[in-house]
Amino acid sequence: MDLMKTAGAVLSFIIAASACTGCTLQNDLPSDTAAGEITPFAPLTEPDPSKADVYLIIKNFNSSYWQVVADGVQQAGIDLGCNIYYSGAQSETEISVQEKLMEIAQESGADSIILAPNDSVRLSESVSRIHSSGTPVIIVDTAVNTPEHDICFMTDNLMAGHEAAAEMIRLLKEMGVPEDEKAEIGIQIGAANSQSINERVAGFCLYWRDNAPEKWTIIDDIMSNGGDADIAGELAEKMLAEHPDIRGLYGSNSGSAAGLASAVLSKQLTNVAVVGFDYSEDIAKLINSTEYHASAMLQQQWDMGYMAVKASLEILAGDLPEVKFRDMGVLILNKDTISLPEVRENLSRI
Amino acid sequence: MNKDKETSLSYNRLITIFILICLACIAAMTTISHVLIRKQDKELTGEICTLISEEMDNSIRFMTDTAENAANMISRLGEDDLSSLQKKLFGHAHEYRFLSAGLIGKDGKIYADQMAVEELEKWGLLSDLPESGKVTISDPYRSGASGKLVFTVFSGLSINGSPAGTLFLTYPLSEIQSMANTHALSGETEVWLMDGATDSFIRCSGSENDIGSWGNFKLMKGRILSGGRYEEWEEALRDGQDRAVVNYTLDSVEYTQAFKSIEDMPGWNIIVRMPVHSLTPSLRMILIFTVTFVFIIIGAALVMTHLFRRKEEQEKAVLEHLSSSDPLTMILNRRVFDQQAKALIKNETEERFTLMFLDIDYFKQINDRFGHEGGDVILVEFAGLLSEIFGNDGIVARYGGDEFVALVRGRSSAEINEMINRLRTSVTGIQVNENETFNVQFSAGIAAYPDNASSFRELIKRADIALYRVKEQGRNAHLWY
Repeated sequence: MDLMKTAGAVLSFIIAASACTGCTLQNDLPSDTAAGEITPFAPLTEPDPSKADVYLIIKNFNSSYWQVVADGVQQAGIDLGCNIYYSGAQSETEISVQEKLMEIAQESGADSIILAPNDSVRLSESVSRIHSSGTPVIIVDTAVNTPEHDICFMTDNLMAGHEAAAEMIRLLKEMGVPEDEKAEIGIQIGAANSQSINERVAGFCLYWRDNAPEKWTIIDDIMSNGGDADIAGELAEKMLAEHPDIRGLYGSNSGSAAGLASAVLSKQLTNVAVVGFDYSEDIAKLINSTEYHASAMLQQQWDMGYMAVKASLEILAGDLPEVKFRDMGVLILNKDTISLPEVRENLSRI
Repeated sequence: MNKDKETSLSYNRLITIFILICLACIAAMTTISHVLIRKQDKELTGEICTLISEEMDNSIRFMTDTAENAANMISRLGEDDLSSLQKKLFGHAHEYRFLSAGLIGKDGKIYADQMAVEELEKWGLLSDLPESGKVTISDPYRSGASGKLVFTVFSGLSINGSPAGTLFLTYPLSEIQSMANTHALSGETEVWLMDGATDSFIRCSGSENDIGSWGNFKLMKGRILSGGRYEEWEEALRDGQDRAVVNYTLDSVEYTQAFKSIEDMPGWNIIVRMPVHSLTPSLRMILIFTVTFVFIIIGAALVMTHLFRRKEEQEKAVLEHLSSSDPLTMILNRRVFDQQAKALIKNETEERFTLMFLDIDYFKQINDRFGHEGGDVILVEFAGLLSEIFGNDGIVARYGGDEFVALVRGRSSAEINEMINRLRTSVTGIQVNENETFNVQFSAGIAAYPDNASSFRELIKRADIALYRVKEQGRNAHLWY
């Protein structure tokens, strides 16, 4: 009987293993979109029934970046004379929340909708439907995968990457790094699946390929810090220890740039330049110091919001935009530009 | 008994060896099949990747040929007014597959719509224009008109045999993407355009979310396991070789990846990547089902073998019982008793054995009184009681006619006396038929080993002598030798 039990157990195992193997061959379905709570639209300007209603839907309430966008929209509402209503998602994974908010805005009688989409593909259908029904849709910050919208205001991150690379080359030359001497550039990113960040890296690398001296190279080990500035600092120190020829560090998002600047400050590396996106106190310390070499790439999110409202009102007035995409460009904050009016104005809005 | 045990052991050993051989064969079959499938997967995915990359390259070449042919056509026209030519040829550019088109004079002046001019200047695309008869393709960049990724094909222009500038056509990257999607065999096949110098790439296929997005292979390289093959492949790519294929493992997935360099886009390559397993999941399923089926057949064979063997053992046991027992009383017969008793005494030389001969007194008279049927009842009942009292400590047998024998292990003389007395009490009042009972009397001769004998043969003689004495003294008693 023992023999029979053993044979039975072997058979059961094989059948179960086969069944399990069958399970693993099934395709994994994508996880459901996070469904958060709907935050009702709140007026950012004093409502006036005689004026047009512009609804703003942002990506994430919990980010100072989006507060600056909302400030730009609010100012445009005041300056240009329209009602602004404001809502958004609690995180950048909430796609269905944004879909619902677009429906609510349309049902509430929105004359135009300004959307910062949390997903370029999944929100395309909602954007197309609302735009086709006659409501102007203005996209900000991130493109959508449909031509059914009026215009998109965003930073062209590929071009911004080019400009960051040009700035890095300028800083290295300013530091006196000889063009025939080996110099390495380290890169950190906040997330490997962010299109914006990947475009900034691609733009940087492609510009570097064509314009940097041959001996100035980008190290292969691009590090991802998950958007955490503390981790970015730790990784930067590790990178600097492993690559003694590093003369430049590039942070493709604000957390990375802050971490890189912090590492350079703590190690007092006056011979390493830092170029990174967005403003942070650490990178400001480097820029304000006469010993360090650093530049920050400032996005113009306030202008993005302001221009979106302006375009809304132009469209409502029958003046349709000629292009679908408007690159807002970046401002370079460094020792030379810090006192420029447009830079000071940008900094004052952060 | 020992022989049965030995037979059973050899049977179990045989079955164990059989199972082990089967498992080894299945393991060998699985391993060989797996190796063959992997080999086939690698060869096929390599060929498919190469094929897709070549077709993609041909499609890109179609775009460059279009630019080159347009430049040749302009050369043959012989007209040197680029502004006029631009209006005639490209005034309705939006009707074609390209987004914008124009001409660039030798002096750098651009003849195109304002948006195209701004973009060429913004992206610095005017710095390295091809000579007459040559074609180049720009890096992909974002178009302001559409917000989508585009690339521009430049073709050197000559009019009346002299260099006259450059013709350009700007295509949406989606032209390449749609080709990649057409050729992608499944959702798992990825097609990229990759710059070999920077590892930057644009996804032209794959999931909907990823199409048109940028990535950098440097982010994956650290996790690649290839035993150095990926590095060789990368070296070939960076050395400007035309094509190469590699297999590597990344995050536990084995991939085949091929590159094909794009002739007119220096440094850029078409990369096609697909998981090695993507072509032959059905073969793997067939293997899994085959192995399962083989296991089921082996299991069924084992069950049937076991059932046949059990039935055979039961039949054998019945036969053995029949040949070893007395057909009337169902206790051992004389032959088997002698065999077993000899074996016991031979093997247990240190232990005490008591042998008893028991004879029912005046059995002939019992037969005469109750008939043979009644006599048989007495014999059966006597044998049953004998087994009940002595059977637990030894063996009992019908030795012939009304004569029985018992061999008891280890009991003292006093205990044997007490057991005989108990038997004597038990055999009184045996129900012979429906109406009558009978008080059976018996005589017993007893001898002990090793006290009275040194062998079984001697022991049985001594007990027989003791029985003889009992009969001489008037029966219905027992005596020790």
